Amino acid sequence: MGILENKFEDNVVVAKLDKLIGWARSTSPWYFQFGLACCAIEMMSAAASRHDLERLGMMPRSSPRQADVMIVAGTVTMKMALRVKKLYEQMADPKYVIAMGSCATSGGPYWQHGYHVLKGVDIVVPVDVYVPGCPPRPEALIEGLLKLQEKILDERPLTRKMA
Amino acid sequence: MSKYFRDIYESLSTMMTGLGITWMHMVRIRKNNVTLQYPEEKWPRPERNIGFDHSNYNVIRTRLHVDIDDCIGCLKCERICPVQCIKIVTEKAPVRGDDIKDIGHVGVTSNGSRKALVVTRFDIDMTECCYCNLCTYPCPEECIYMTGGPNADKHPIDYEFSEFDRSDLIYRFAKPGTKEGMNEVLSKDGAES
Repeated sequence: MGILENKFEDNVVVAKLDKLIGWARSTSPWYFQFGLACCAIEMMSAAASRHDLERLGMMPRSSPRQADVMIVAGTVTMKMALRVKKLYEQMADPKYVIAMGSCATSGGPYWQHGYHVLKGVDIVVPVDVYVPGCPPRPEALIEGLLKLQEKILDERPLTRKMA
Repeated sequence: MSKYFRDIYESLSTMMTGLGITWMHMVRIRKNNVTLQYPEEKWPRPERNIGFDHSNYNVIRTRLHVDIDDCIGCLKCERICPVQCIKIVTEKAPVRGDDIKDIGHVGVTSNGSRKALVVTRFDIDMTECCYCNLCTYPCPEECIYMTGGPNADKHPIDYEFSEFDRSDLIYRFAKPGTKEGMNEVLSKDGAES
């Protein structure tokens, strides 16, 4: 993933540094707001004062260069899939993707007859956490982000012992 | 000269007014704050009001749950599902209304109807579900329902169930080993007769 990987032996200092890096990454996953449909309303609600996401260190960014997590919220059409891929590639490492809602997870209500809908955003980008719901409650999105935090904490970026 | 000091006084007094409001909010922070401290506290979910009595209608949008012991395999929920996210496969039971203990099959539902079919597969893909609640209305045994809300006595509420893997979101309600067990039961039955 990064330039630091596979450069270090496994010892106490590196292990502690690993944990520090994991903790630092997990407590500030700034997310790239990728609102495409009705799920975007719930994502906005999660960022607003009622379900304040900033108390968990998550801040909405509008540029892929500043973001760590991409929350794909909503129906990904075939036309938009190319842009999803392009914007994912523009994000800086380490990068994570959350598929929010039924449509981004598997096509949702359009999974059978949707001629214009991508059947799951995991076809174009690797997805870390799937948040189900149509649309999910803001609490459900926060739960997904907390799961992602656990996943980032378990990672060992220097010694690359992926959990 | 007097304007100079009046400006200083005005700036200080307005600043103190603003800080006073901030201080009052800080003192009463637990009383009138709006933020839901999510992982520590959870608020009850609002139930959708469709203009009927809530006790008669199953109106909440959460995860679907099936009490498989009560399911008679009538396929009504599978047929009404607008997105076909429910998949049911049934087999004919050897004896109507009889328990098949090998595969954990209960012959009589809690409503008292004798089952003629054994449900060998009952999958609900929660990634495809659109949470429309349509499957809960036609169920004659009221065994498929959304968790929580009016059904909180049957199953606790569950609306945040995100997973790392997409296949974990397909909920398989039929009892494990039902299909193989059913084949065994049927072959034994056929061998005897």
